[in-house]
Amino acid sequence: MEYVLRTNDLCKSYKSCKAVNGLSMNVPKGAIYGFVGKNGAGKTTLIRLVCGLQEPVSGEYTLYGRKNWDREIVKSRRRIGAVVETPSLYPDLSAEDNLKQQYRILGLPSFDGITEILKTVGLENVGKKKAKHFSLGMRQRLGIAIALAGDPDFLLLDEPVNGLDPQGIVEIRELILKLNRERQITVLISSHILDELAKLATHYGFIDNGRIIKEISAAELEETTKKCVYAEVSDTKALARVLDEMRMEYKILDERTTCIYAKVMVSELVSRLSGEDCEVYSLQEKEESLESFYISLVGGADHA
Amino acid sequence: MRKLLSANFARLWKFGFFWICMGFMLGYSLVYMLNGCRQALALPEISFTLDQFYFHSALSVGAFCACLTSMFLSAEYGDGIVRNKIVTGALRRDIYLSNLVLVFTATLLLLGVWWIGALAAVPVLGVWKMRFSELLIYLLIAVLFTAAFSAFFTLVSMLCENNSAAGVVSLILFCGLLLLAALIDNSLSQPETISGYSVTIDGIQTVKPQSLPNPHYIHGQWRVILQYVLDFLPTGQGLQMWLLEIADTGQVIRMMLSSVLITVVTTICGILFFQKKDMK
Repeated sequence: MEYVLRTNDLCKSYKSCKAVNGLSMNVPKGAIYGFVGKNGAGKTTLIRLVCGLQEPVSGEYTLYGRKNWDREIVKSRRRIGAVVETPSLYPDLSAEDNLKQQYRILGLPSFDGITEILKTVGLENVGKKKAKHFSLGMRQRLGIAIALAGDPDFLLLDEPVNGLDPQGIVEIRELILKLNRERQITVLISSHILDELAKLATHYGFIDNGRIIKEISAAELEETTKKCVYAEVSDTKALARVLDEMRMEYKILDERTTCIYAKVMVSELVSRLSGEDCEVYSLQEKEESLESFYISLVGGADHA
Repeated sequence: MRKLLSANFARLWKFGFFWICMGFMLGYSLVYMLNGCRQALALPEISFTLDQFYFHSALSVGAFCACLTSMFLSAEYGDGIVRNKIVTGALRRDIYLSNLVLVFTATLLLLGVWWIGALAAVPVLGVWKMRFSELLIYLLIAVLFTAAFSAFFTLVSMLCENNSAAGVVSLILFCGLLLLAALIDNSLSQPETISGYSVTIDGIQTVKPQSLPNPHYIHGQWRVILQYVLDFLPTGQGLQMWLLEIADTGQVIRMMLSSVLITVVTTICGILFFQKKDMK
C-alpha cells in the first residue's frame, strides 16, 4: 500500500506535558483518514508537526517519501493543504481576494482557477462580501478553498465541523467526499464528533494520550462493530444448541444474554427454543457504534 | 521570497491602518511646517530655516514604525497567515525577511510622505540652508535608522504572537529608547562652565560674575562613551538629526555603521529565534 504520511515514534512536549508521545500512524494514499481522539489527545499537535509549524522532540515522519529532517521536505509540503484549528484568512478581504492572496503566496502565474475553487466549495455567489461577515460554515469552506489553491494531493483538516450547525456539517461532509472522490485528494480529518466521522472515513486512527492505540480501516471496523441481536433467554445453553443447529455466529455474554451476529428469523428461533423449554424474554437488535468502539478502546469510565 | 513579497505588498495596499498612518503623517507634517511658517512670519527678526523643521519626523518615525509593524504583523499572526505561509512550504527565513522588507518599505513611505508634506513650508522658509551633500547624508542616515527601527520592531512582532502585547512592547521599547537618548543628549549638552553670581549696588556692579565649572558637565572618557551610545541608538540619531547636531564625518560614519549593525544583528537573531519558534 502506498502511504502519503507515515509517522514513527513521534514525540512532542510542551514543557513537562507530552502532547504527542511515541505516535506511529500511516495514512494511505486516497484515504479519508479519521483521526479520532478526545480533546487534548494530541490530534492538533500531530497536524502542527506535519505542517511544519512545530518540530518534533524525537521520532520522525515521512511525507510523500521525504523525512521531516530532509531539507527538501518543503517540496512535500507544497503538495499539502491544511486548515489548522481556525481557517487562515484575511477577514477584511472578500473570498475572491483571499484566494488571490493565496495564489500570490504560492506564486501561481494567474488567477485562473479561482472561480472553479469557489464553485467547488459553494462560495461562487458571495460577491464582494468580506470574510469577517461570513458565517462559521462559510469561513470554514473558504479555509478549505484556500487550502485547495495549490491543487494539493493531501488535505489536513483539524476539526472542520466544530461549531457548525447541522446544515454546515452536511455541506462540509459533502465537500470532503467530493474532493476525495472527484479529485482523489487524500484527506486527514481530526475530530471528536464520531458519528460525523463514521459517515466519511475510509480509515481510522484512534489516539489517546499522544499515541495511536488502534489503526483500522472502515471495512475492518464495520466487521468488528457489525450488527448483533441481543437475546435474553432463560437458558443460554439451549439457545447455544439451537444457534449451532441454525449455523449462526453468537457470543454468550452472561447467563441470560447472548449476542447473535446474524439476521434472526424471530418466529423460527422462538419456536425452536420453545421445543427446548427455553423462554425468550426479549430480542433486541443493536449496532455497535464507532463511539462505543472508541470508548471500549480507551476505557469507558474516563471517556463516557 | 519574491512570491511572499508580492503577497505582502498586495496586502499592504489594502491594509487600512497603513493609509491612516500615511494620512496622519501628511497632516502632521503640514501642521508642523505651517506652524514653522507662522513663527517665521510672526518673528521676522529671527532667521528661521527649513532645516530647523524639516527633520522633525526623525523623532517620531520610530513610533509610527512600532505601531505599523505590530498592527500589520500581529494581524498576520492572528489571522493565521504566517501559519498558512509555513504550511504552503515557504521557508521561515523568507517569511521573516519578506516581512522585514515590507515593514522597512512601509516606514520609508511614511517618512517620504512627511518629507514631501514638509515642502509646503518652502514658499515661506525657502529651501535648505545646508549643502546638498549634507542634506543627502542626513537623508541617508534617516533611511538607515529607519531600517534599524524596522528590524527591531519586526523582531518583537515576529516573536510575539499576541497582537496587543507586541504593540505595547514595541511602543514601550521606543519610548524607553527615546527617553534614554534624550537623557544622554541633555547630559552632553551641559555647558562646561556656568556663570557665577554678580552683586549690583545702585546700578554699580560690585562683584563681577565669575565663570564656574559646571558640576553636571561630563568630562573625558565618559563623554566619549556617551556620545558613542547616543550615535549608536536610532532614537539618538533621530534626536541629533532634529537638533541638527550631526557635526563631523566620524559621527556620520559611526551612525551609519551602528544602524547597519543593529539591522543585521537583530535580523539574524530574529531569524534564528523564528526558525525555532513553535507556531500555534
